[in-house]
Amino acid sequence: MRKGYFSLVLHAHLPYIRHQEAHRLEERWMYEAISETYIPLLWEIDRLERPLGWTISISPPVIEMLADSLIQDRYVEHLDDTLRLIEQELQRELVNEERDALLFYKERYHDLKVTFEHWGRNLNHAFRHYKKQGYLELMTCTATHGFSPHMLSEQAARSEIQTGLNCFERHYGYRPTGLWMPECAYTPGLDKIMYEEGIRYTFVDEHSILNADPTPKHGIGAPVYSPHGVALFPRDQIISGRIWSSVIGYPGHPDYREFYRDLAYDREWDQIAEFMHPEGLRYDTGLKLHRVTGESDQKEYYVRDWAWKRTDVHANDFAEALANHLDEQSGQDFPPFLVTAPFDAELFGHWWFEGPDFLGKTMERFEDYGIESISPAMFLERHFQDIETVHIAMGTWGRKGYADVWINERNDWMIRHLHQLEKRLAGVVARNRHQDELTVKAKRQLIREYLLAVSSDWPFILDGQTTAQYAANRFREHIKRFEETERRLDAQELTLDWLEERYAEYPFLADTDIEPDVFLTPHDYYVAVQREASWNSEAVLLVTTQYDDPNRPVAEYAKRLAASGENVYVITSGATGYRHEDGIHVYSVEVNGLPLVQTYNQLAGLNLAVLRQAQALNKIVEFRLVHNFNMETASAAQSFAEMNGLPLVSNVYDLESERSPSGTGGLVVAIKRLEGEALRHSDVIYLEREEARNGIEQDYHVAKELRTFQVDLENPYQHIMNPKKNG
Amino acid sequence: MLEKIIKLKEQGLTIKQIAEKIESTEGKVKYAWSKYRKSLTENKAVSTESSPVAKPKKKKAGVTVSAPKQNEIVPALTAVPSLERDAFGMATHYEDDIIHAIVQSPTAVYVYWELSELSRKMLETHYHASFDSFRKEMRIIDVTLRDYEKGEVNRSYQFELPEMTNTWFVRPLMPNTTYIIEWGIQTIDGDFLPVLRSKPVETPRDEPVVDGRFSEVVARWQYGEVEQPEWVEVLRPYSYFDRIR
Repeated sequence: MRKGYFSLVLHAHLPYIRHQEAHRLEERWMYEAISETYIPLLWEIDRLERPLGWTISISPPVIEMLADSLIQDRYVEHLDDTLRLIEQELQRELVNEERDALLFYKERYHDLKVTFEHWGRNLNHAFRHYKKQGYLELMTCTATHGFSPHMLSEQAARSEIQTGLNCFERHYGYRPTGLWMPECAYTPGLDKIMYEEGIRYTFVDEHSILNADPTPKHGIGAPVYSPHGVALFPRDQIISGRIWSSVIGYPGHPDYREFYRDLAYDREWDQIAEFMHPEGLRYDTGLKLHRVTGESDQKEYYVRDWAWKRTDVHANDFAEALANHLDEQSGQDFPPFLVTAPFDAELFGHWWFEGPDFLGKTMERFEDYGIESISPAMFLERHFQDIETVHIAMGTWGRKGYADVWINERNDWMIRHLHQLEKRLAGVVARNRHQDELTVKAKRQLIREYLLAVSSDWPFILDGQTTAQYAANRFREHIKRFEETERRLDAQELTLDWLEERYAEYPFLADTDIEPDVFLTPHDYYVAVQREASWNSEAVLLVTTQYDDPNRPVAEYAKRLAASGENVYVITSGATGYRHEDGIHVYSVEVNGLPLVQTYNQLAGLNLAVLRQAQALNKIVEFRLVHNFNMETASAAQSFAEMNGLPLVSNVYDLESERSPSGTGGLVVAIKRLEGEALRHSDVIYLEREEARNGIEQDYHVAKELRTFQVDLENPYQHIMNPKKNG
Repeated sequence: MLEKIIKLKEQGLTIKQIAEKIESTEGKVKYAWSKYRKSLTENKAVSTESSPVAKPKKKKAGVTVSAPKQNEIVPALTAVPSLERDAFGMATHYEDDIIHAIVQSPTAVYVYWELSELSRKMLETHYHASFDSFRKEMRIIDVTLRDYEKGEVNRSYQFELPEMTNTWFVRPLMPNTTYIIEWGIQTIDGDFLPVLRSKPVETPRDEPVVDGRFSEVVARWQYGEVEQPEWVEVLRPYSYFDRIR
């Protein structure tokens, strides 16, 4: 046996493209993947009948579609149609080479059907069987292949990971310890969530490891641990490139099947109409009768024997190259050198038709060359103690290595909608704490719609501009379905039947796969459930900059209010914090970051901070009025009261004309204007000092009655006129 | 005024068009309209409450907790605000205050933001000027290994944003750098007033490290010497009731 290892990882994924109505073009993606990749891979696994060291990741959408009887039945119809088409073609006058190619397909489609039926039309059974035999490792991917680094919250990433694992477990009977992260996308902190969900390894691209800090001493010759303890296996680009590269790779050989030449485009419409879309669309039949041939557009017929033999040559070439590569690295110990080669599974068979044959034969050549093929899981079992821990930056295996594919001018409009869904999901679960069947089902349906929307396939397709309309429509559809479900939940218009109908339209994930409270944080649970409920109603909001100032009566007044049974909240300036004393909720807010130069702008910053706190409280606390004690907080108090239709009560201690008697500058003018506005907008004005009365009446032309303030006012809010007039 | 708004809304006019037509502000129209919409849902809730089976405790925040009852429906908080929609039925903006930055590449981040009517209203009140008249700016702040809450920064720069913008690709940036991005307005006296502040975002490295900054912090974390990792992790829990204690 040679020193060193090789690890092959295949990731099978398609977006969830199951539609109830027939003849959706996108559903053919699934048929193509089954015919060209999934079953041919199973054939090789079955032929070799031995532990291969392969790891196959099957994404939850693929798992669900493989298990879906509608898709299964339509797939068999599709095979039957293709076989009929082949028969019809064979009736024509054909040159020998074309006939041979058709006969090859005839046999192949027959075999596909036999295999498909053998597994009871559910290929999950096949993969599960070979896993049980010990021939391969299986794992899965996140629920819908969402692009984790761009998610807003931890909960979103967790829902993708956890739901994906639940779905896999329901179909395969166990939880894998490895997880394919969509697009090999990693970002610091993602590993924490993965580890907590039981995941011990995943895959990243080569540059993610090479640019790690500190630099790993084995480069891409070994996995590393992320700081939270997930092993990251690097894609070896040189070795992978031999296989996938269209320039230097094997698939471009003239003997191999030409992907872009399909029988559908070589026939008159009348000859094939019966096998095309009923609305007159021409699409691939899957019968590709030509070979790559060369650079020119003139393509020769496909000769199966030549292609088959070519895979022998390429398998041997690959094994030899890999053997040399491992020998060059044989100096590496603890752990020995490992070449990790992760691919999209559909590359083999769908794009490179002979790919599965190549993989099978490569395994046989490995035996000749003494190369050990090992799964990452097995590698970790042997060498877990020889792995370094490093910081890995954000990275993917996409174009240019980062996120250019998933966020650019073609698809950037999507992200804000997804983030809003995340925030609203957190809100829905925080607010709806009932465990009745309807509420729980509604939460699950909301998460399902979010997951279907967050699939990285939609921005990916928009980036590539291939079937952009479908991707954009699907994305919008799930956002709107989410909103409709949420609206009905809020308006109490939901029924179980309606939710069932919704589910039937996209029957993706069982309800049991979805943890309804995955978006709930412990803090939100506390606020929603454990926090005193009476604190939420009929509250008075006092706004001030001088809560603790002994020269002002705010604290004393608040105390008396609370003692009289009022529900009192205070927002004041000070180091950010909260205290609950004498029955009063006191929130302090401050402005931090780069300092502002001008006083009036500092006040704007303070008012923004006050406003944010008021907005936050307003999510759960029902205020009945705003009582402002300082001109400095007038803009926040006034705006908040006005936009929420609340009465505004203002206390006046002194006026700007008293504070700056000779002031005429811009600041004084601005403050006076603000002061006047706030007073004119107040429903009730209290004077703390009689001296201010003249100024209010004369400078600000306030015609309201000015009342005298005392800390022990009896029923201080009796003068508020109800209902509050707006505008 | 409300009657007019309802009529015009039924004719399919946008908030902005209605405001122009009745010579009012967008804010006032939107406010009146959403209040009207809310009153409709509240009326509905009241009418269902009279049914003898389910008598939900309706709270403003809709947080209702009681023993689970069969089919009990709990009213949720505020109804989803009615938002303006584009031709595809998607909200053109959200009543939210958020700025969020995500990585596109080692030298570029993408930023989007939303500003609520309430925040606009406050700025207009404070500066006694219409929102449209403000000069909007974006400030890019390098806070690598700094505590921005204490006002520490390595460097920052700002630039003017065109009107009607709610997204920006910020480039070029430095790789391996922590940024905070602020959206704000330039005041008459030349200050930049930050209105929205992003969470820190870190551009990835694009080359092998020569003199790295993570060896020690990784080791400290690995050996349990710190409670929290000392680097930026973007996927943090989002708490709906974040600032409520």
